[in-house]
Amino acid sequence: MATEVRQSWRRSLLPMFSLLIILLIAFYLLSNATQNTTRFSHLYGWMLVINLAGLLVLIILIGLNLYKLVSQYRAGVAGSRLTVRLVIVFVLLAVLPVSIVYYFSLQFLQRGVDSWFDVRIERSLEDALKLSQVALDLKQRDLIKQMPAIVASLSDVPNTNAGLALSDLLTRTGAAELSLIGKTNRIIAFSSADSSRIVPHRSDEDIILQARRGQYYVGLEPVKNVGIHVRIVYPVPAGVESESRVLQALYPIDQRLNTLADNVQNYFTVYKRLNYLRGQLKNSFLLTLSLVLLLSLFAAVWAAFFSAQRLMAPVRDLAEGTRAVAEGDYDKQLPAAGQNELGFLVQSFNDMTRKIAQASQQAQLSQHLVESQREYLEAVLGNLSSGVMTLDRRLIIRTVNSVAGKILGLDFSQYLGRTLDTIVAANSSMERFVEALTPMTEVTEQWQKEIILFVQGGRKVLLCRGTTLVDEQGVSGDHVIVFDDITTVIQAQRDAAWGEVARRLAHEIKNPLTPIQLSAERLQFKLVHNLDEKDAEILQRSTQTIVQQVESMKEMVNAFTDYARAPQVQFQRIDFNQLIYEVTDMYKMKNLAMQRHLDSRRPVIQADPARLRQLLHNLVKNALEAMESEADKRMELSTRCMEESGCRFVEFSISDHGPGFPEEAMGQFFEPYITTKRKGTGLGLAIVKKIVEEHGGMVHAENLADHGARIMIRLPVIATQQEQEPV
Amino acid sequence: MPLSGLKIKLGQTCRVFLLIFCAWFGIPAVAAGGDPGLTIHSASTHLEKGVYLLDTQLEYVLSKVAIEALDSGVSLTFDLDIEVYKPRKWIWNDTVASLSQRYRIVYHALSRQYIVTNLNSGVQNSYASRNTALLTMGRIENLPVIDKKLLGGEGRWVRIRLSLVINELPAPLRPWAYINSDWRLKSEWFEWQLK
Repeated sequence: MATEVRQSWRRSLLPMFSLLIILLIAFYLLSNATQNTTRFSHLYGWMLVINLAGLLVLIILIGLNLYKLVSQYRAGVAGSRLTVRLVIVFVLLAVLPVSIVYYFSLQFLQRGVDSWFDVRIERSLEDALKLSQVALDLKQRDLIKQMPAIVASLSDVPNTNAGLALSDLLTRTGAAELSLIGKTNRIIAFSSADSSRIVPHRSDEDIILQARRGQYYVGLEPVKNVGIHVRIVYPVPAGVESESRVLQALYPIDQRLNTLADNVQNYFTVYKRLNYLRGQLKNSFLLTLSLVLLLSLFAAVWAAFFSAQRLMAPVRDLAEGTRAVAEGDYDKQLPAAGQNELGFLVQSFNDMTRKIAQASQQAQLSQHLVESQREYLEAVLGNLSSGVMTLDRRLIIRTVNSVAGKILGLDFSQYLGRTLDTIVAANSSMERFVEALTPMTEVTEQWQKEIILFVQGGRKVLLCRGTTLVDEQGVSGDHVIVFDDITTVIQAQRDAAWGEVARRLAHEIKNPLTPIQLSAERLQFKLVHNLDEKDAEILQRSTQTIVQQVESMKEMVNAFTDYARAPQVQFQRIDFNQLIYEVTDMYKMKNLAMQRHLDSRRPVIQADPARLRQLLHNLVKNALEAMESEADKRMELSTRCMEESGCRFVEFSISDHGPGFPEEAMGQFFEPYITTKRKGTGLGLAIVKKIVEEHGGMVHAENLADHGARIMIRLPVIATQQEQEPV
Repeated sequence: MPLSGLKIKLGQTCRVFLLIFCAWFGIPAVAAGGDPGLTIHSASTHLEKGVYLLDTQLEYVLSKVAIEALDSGVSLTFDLDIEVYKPRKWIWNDTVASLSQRYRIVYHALSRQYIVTNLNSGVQNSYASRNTALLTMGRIENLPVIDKKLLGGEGRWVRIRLSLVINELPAPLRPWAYINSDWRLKSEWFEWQLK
């Protein structure tokens, strides 16, 4: 990993170093071209272009780096602020010294080059030149003075003898070269002290033309390899020859004077040339220096970016890694950052995340274990036949198993985490349940309670048991409530109990009744003839009473047997209104005002019609018997389809205008053998209650406010006829 | 002072870069009078004793900077390239012979003369004025070019071109001369058929 990192750095550095080396070579050549090397000078322009292109590449690289950094800074990327700071510091560290060096280099360059030149030196050189010229002027003047005599001697010399005459003159005057020029610049004769010379030094045509016109010319002539000479072009007066002739003479100058004048000329030329080139030289140096400065500067700035980013890379990785860990990515591993302190930090981070990842895995495993245990517990609770509910100390529902929901006909999932009261707010049928439970949560010991509810599916008897959980500190906390639907159990128990009573009654009471009755009849039959009339009448009356009472007792036992014997109930769909009409029609009498307010929606219930008929007969009979002594007999029957918190039922009520139930017997009317009537078995309302309970209903009795009593029955409804037969 | 000094230096640096820019793209930094350049007005060859001799009329119009350099003691070297070639249709020409004549002009301050030297022959002449020197330098007569025997057939062409030799300039001037159009003095090729 570490070698990979190093290689990636190397890969990014290599092109950059290559560029810098190429640029440095180009600068070297550029600076050489400025000096004396002719080799590269013709490449100067191209080298300049290469250097500028290299600088442009550097500027683009820096620009890209800058753009990237600014984007990262704005986006708030980890480590970007520190990178910016580092870059600024590095750039300042690089730029300041380079700028100072550049400034002083410029100063030295300017002053250094300028110091080569001095006005005084220039002046002295010019003076020296002038002095030389003056000295040579004197020589020229001397020579020109001789010229009239020389040309005069030549005027009489014909062209044919001119050669000899010139040679003679050459010797006499000490001239270096003499040539006689005729018409059309033809060399008539020529004589030179240099015997190897075969052609004379030619003069300017203008000068010869000027001489032909009579104006002589005198001037200095630098002759190659020999030195400065005085050139005189002088017209030859017309003589033997008719053509206009011109004498050109070259006079050497004194050797010492020549050498000195030559030196002055050389130094003056060199100085003047240097003075002229001074600006160019400075510009060249300045250009090279500036380019080198820019290269160094940009390279330094780029290096600043590069170093800062390289330095910050592990820090950025660490920041990103920390963020990743904070977001829950414990598998984050950072690339190695070398052998330094940062590398150690990165290594530590990697170790840490590895350990966290291990711990996290362990925690997940434990959580999974707990989860599976919880699921197992839930499965156990879900498969219990009992409803289980836990409440915390604030009576907030913590857990409820599915059976609880089934028993109570409620979807408990929406009440989890809410208090018990919230159930009542939405389901009024649960009011009894909650009212019964709430005081029990204060009980610290185990408790048990029976609660009767009318919920969906009808009346239910719940056996609730509860306890308060005590935590390790002994503080009472959550409550566990377990409840069972014991409706059918109770019914079965009651049926069994009553069956046993009925069997006993039949066995213990009904069986002796027949011998009693027979014995009484036998007494009367055997003894009535043996007694006097008075005794016979007593016997007659007594045996009659015995027989009647025995009959009465037999009837009573039979009725009870009927009550206790639980016939097999045959449920079927019944139109409840229709059944009421059928039964009550039989009781239509002249002196009875029967009002029937039956629900037009015609409730359909699941019931045994024979048992329901018996229920209705018992109720109507009970009402009629209550109003026996009343002159104004009024009876009201009504049915009403109702729905309370998703629980649909029909409420049947029957009201009479009799004296009502005596207050002292309230709550006991539905128990067997509780009656206020003179006649009757005391089983009528008990049978009503039994039938209602068989049908999952509830029965309730109350006295009316003005006069009379009302019995209300609630039975679960399947549907209404209206729903089944839409109009 | 350091700050103002720096400003001056920076100004100078900027000026240097501006000069480079102008020079490279051929924008004259200083407006010069006339059109400086080298022109070949006429050129011809004639056969004499089996040798082709060249006669040509050249015109030297120096730029202001070149004149300034010349008067400051810088010698200017000109090259007359002469090429005899056999023209070919699809590929480059076949050069039969090539020679160059070099002339140098330099100002002699002491004598106030312009010295023109033929570097090939070593012949040196001096002239009182620059114009005379340049005129004389531009007049070339009877310059031997090639022996007829060496031509290797008929239909040969000859072309000449005159140029300032930058490599012969003093070193500090050379870089500028390479990038400055004022210094890039060069004539077009002048060509004719050898008869």
